[in-house]
Amino acid sequence: MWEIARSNKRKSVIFVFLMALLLVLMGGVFGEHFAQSAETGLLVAFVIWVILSIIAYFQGRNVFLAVSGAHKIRKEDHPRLFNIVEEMTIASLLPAIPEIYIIDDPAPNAFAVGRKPDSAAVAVTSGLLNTLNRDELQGVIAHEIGHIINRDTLFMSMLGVMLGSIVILSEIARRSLFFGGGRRRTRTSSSGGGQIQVILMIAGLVLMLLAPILARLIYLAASRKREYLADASAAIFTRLPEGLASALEKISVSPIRLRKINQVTAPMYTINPLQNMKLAEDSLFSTHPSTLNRVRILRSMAGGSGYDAYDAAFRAVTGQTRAIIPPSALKTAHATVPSRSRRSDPKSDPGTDQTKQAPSAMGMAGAVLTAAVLMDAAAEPVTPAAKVRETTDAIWKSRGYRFIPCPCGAALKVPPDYRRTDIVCLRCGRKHPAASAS
Amino acid sequence: MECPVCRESMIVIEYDDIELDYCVGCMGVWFDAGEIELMLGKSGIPFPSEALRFRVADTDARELRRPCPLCGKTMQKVCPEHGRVILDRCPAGEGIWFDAGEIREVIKESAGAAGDIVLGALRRYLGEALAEK
Amino acid sequence: MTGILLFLGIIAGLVIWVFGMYNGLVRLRNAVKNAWSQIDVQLKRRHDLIPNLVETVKGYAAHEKDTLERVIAARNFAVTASGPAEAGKAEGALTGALKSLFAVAEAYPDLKANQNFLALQEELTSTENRIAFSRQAYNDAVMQYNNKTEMVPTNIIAGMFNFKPSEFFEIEIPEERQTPKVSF
Repeated sequence: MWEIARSNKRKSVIFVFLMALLLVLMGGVFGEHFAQSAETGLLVAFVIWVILSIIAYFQGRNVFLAVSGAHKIRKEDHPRLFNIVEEMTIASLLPAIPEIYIIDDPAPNAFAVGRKPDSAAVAVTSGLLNTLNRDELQGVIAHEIGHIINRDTLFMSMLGVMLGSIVILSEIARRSLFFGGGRRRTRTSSSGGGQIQVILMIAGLVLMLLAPILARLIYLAASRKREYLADASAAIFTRLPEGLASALEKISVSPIRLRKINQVTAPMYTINPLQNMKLAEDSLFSTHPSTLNRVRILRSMAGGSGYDAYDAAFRAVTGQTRAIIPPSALKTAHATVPSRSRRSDPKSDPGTDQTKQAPSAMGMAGAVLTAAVLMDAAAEPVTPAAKVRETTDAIWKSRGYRFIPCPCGAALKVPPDYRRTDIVCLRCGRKHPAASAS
Repeated sequence: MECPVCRESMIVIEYDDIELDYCVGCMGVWFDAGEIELMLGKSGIPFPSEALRFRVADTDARELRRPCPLCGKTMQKVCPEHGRVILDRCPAGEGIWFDAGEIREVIKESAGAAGDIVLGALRRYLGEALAEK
Repeated sequence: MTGILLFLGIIAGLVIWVFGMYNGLVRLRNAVKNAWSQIDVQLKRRHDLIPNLVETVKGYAAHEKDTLERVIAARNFAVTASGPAEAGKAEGALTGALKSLFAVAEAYPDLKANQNFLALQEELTSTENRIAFSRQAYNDAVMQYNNKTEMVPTNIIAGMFNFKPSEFFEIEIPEERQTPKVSF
């Protein structure tokens, strides 16, 4: 399961190096230009970066969850979501079950955070729970756990910090250009270095304008590829590429936008929340690959769920000749993995053709067997209204509300800071002791 | 959410997939935007739009000004277009606050003959809260 | 003198090599055991859920006695099963019985709307998924271990210290196995 993480590590070094180069260059040029010493600029750049990195490394997860308005839930708040996360933890061999958070937001989306696989967290919006069925939800959770396993969560937050530092630096430079930049020119205007000064100043200006854009491009290029890889991981974990495909399709046609979102947090989500035309082609400026392509690739996997099936489908759909899956991963046990059959698919015949293949007959390469669906029954609310109810209740519970069912048919939801000893039902006037809430 | 009158934590009551907030201290009820329409729609009554159109109430309203429980902005004093009951409405359109008994009064006085039907429909959700005291 | 030292060196190297192979086998065997205990946890969870399920169904569909008894019998048989191969058969039979139970439940709308029933159904579905997903990991571990016990030179060590190949875990669902039969 860690093949992609290993190969990603090498590529991450390149991205981090490019970003660092840009940061150093900016610090140097700005220092030279505004404070007459490159060292000062470098120092400023370095200090900003170190401080942000320390915050991101140790508190990034909590900061991110907090700004997104995520609330942690327990198993009894939303059993199905909990079960799905546990199933995917088993399938992905993640060392610990991630913490689960719900965000009260009607736009369907999800993200994962955490620098280590054993202390990660997954957050989903209420809109996601309302729109997706069990298989689809499983696909999205698998995609997020894919990000955790592939170490995208750590890498993207560190790269995001560098991007942030560059943006802050260029902002400082822009301001000092207006307020303090003039002083220097008058002092050196007639000296022989004047021309060099002009060139340096132009270079500084160009860098100030370009660096944030360049940094963003590096950041986006890194994040886009990781989305494809997390999709490939999701297919392997679930053995059901259609689950994620259909989820992505549903999410992308939803007209609702996330409320709390910005440029830096956007790449963390399953689907880019800022993208305007969601089905547009891949472009340099998109954090996520086009959703249409992602869906098409997943649907072209032709019965397989392994890396090779994903790679072939990727090439067929995008027309690229370069492989998306690192070659080292294509050599592992997860290269060839058959899909399982969909629960409600009448054509499927679980337990016959797939389970019959004795593993010993498959040799070492095809070591992984398919996860046959043993039971057709998937228990989940049938009507959309009931599903919304389930999600809303999970949100109430995540905020510490306790419930009292009133015999008149109403349900009373009591806030954690409720102080009276009893509660009168609005509908029937019955008195309930507050302590009876659970 | 806090009751705009008593500052107590309000209880959420859910019935037939509709949720309302009310205060046990004063039995006032908060309707999020669109919830009355939703209730009537669920009861099969096309919403009589003229029944709940509001105008800004005369400024000498005796009641204290209250904050919107959702956004915190001071609520406007409003009256039904053809009535005299004074209600509090969020200026940002988040919802309306009814003091105890006000729902009944509003429907009675502004919906005229249709009022009884509307009352009957809402009784499904609000039950005792609509009974004459 | 050097000859003796060289001889001793070769012996020491050989011993270390054998130790290495032996430890490797032990590590793989432990991995198999560990993977099996993961499955075992889920199987136990499944067995624990079934009495509750049967009680709930009884309240709504008491006269579906045959189906209920079949589920209980299959469950009790599965509890006593030991070892992956036997467990695979027993769990398959249990799955078959559960399938017919859920098929029967379709005819009782009140039962299907029962919160307790829905919760149990979700727990059972999830348990089945977990069994299926942990089975992958288990069979992977068995494959690695068995290959080592069969291949030269580890097979010699395996033979000397009685490392027996492990069983794969396959769930066979009875009804579906019978369907392809064709008679002339």
